[in-house]
Amino acid sequence: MQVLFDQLMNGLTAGAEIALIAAGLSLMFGVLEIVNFAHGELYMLGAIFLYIAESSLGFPYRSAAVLSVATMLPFGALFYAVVVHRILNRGWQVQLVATLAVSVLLVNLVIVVLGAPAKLVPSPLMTTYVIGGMRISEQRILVLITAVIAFVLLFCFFRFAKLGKAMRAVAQNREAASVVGIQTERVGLAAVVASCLLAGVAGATIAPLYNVQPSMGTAVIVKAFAAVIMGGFGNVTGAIVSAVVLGLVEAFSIAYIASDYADLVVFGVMILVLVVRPQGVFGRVVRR
Amino acid sequence: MITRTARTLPLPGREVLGWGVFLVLLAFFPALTSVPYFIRTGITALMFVTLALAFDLVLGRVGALSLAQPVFFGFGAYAAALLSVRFGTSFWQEIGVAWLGAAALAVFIGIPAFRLSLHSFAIGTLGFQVSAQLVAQNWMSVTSGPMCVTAIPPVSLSWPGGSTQVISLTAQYELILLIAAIAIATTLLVTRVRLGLAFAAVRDDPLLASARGLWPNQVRLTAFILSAMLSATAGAFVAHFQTVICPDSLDISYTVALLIMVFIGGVASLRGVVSGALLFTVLPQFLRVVDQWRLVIYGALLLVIVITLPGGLEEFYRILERFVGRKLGLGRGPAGSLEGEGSSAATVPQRVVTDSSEKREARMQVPDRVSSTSHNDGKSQEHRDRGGQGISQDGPRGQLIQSFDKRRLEVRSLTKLYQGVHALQDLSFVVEPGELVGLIGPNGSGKTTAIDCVSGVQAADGGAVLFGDRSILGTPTYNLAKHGLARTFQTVRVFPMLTVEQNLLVAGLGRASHWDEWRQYLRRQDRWPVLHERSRELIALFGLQRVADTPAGHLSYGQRKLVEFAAALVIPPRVLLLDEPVAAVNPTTANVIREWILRLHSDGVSILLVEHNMEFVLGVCERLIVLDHGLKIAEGEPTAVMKDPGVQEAYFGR
Repeated sequence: MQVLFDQLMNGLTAGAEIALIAAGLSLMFGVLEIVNFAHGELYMLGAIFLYIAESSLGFPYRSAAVLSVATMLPFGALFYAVVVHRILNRGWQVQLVATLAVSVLLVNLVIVVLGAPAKLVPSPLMTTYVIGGMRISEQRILVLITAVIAFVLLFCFFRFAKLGKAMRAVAQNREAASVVGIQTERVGLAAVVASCLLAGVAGATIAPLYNVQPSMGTAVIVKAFAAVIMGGFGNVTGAIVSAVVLGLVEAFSIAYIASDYADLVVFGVMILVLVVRPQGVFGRVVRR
Repeated sequence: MITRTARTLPLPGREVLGWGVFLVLLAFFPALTSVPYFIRTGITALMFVTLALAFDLVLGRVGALSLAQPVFFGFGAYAAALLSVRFGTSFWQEIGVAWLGAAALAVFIGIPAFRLSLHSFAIGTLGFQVSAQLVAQNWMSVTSGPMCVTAIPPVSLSWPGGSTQVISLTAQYELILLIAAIAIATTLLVTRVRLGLAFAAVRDDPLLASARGLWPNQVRLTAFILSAMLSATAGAFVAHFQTVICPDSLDISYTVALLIMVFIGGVASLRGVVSGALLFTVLPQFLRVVDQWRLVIYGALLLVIVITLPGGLEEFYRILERFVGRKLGLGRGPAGSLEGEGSSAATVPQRVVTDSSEKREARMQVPDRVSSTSHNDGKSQEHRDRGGQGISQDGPRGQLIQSFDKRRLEVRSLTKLYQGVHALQDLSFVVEPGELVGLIGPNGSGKTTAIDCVSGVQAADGGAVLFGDRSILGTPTYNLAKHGLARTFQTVRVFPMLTVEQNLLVAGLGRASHWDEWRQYLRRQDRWPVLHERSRELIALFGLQRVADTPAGHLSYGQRKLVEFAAALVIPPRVLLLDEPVAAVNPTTANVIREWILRLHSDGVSILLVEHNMEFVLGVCERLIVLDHGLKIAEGEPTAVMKDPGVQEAYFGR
């Protein structure tokens, strides 16, 4: 029973991690029609910022986590200004290669500056609670709660904030949105910053559970893509749901099939879904 | 981004000769130096030339970014390594296994991955690459995982009378040069044979390609398989060269390197990609000092190149050529370029109409009978037509409208929903054989949706479409096109990188039966007698001679409209669906199109015409169907329909 529960928790945590990244990816695609291959690296940077704030600047975990998420805000703006803005109206190949280049650049920059080996990030949330006979670590609870809060905030933002509504409008029809006076540039900037923040939240909460290393983004990005494709490109809710499903699939195949091939099972699920429904489970067909 | 514009006749001999000389010169490279380090660098460079060309075959020629290239490279490497270590095979046997395996893998990966839209294709193939690397790492009993396959013997080339071991560096260099030469030859071949035309069409506009009868995914898969086989060949060589193969041979960093090479060089440019690959392997040898920063520099370089210089070195070569061309003066002219800037190269004496240009200025030529070229062998054609396919291997030889089995197009209760909104509601109508029917209605009434559903571009949500007594709802667009159901698009669609003539040739290729299409893939583009004649005739009749060799993307809107229309007629269709053929077209061009519609009508082609220009519709149509909000509100003889109060209301309000 404990094993099952542990795997459930592992799966939900992994699912939350993938979901935070996939939601950002899907948001960027929905609003800007850009597939961001550097998105895993934004997550990695969130974790690295946390590491720097804790080990080099000496902040305690809580403030370091807040600081690292906050740092993603100017970083997102920078990413928009330097890269995204320049490739907005280019062919998808240029967009894809440009973001892939950013990914290579960031991973190797971190390797050069901090070294490739994995780094431990201490967190004070090491207590393990026992609820109804089941053990669960505090950090995992934090991950799940933060992810839920982040998604609730995101949906409130979509639903109630003017900018959020504008974002949905742009996602539905960029031209029409710009005709009715929505400043698509600003909306695009907001979407990039929002997805950076989501990635930052993932980095800052999950880093203490796993080790921080430059390649951590590359490992997760493919799963996040799988979730985005399964959810239907640009469909944020679909991406989140698929991410949680994939996280659970991964956790249970680690436990019950073979830990080495867990990722293979995840991709297998993705490919199976795509063969049956190329537009994704929740998919609307991507507009041309 | 893809800047190469293929010409019909890209000065064929000269380019091939140039590459021959280049390869022979490269073969002498080991004789110039005795430093093993240089030769090793040369070997690596040639390996990357092969891999980059294989990569570009998919990225540049059919426009799909495959991140699964390391899978094929790694497969070739592991196959060669394991076979030679365990069984002491010869290189030919290894290549055979590598080719077969890579082709099978390409089919296995390609069939699900090509179902995705093109960004998702990149991601799907990335998933396969990650999975393959996982397998290489964890399948200990076969790949030895992280322990690597070691002590791989040198290449053993077996001949009928014995075998040779390729041991010396020079010999290995010559072997990889041979492999790189195969890759170069494949690329040269692809740009010259009809398969290359299909590649370019699918890359430029997959939807239009399928409306012209080409099955985009089949064409893409062909390129993918070719590319996989080339990559696996390089992999088989590299296993012997490195003597060790580890799971990192399947790493994504290979793809990144290939991306950099192809983008430095210029996508879909042979000389660009080759020089990009050479530059990228030779240059870093001088960057050894900053080894640690190398990948950072690559990343930054790729970012800067892709944003600021998407044409890559190819762009630079063209500027250089133009400059040199000017310097050398009038004597040589632009013919000095490999790509053939001069359009004169394609002006061919057999042009059917030579004197029409002046007449055309006054009044566009009245179109010839569609079938006029082909009365002679109509009998035999009639016989073939019964099989449903009237298209001979070389195009429209002997196409006779009269020989078509008369089939009616019938639409029954066609329904289409867009998120709950009825775009088409229970729409039923018939186009009798040879009839010219107008489909009209206010904006948003579902006319284009109707054409899209009939031609298989969109899936309907209910109802039936019958062509003769055969149900065609759900039949893919390319199969319908092959059966003679041609269409044009409301927003004009041409293959922008292809010349006007190539736009027409593609239609001839696509409308051939599947078997005939396959059979002629490896035939030359520039020897296509019947179809060339036919397309030149059409080009002349539409007054497009002056732009025959111009990429269609450079033409004016009206000219593109004509090109699209002409391409639909290269092989005369049985049913022609015209979506606003004269929208925003000047009166002269509209007149040409009207004449053609009437001529096709009198030749017995069934036509369904969607058009907003009432004068035009009333002038040509025998019968009108009026749609409003997805419902048929009137049908009948044009003048009567226009007097119908319901129709008046739909158009002008109450």
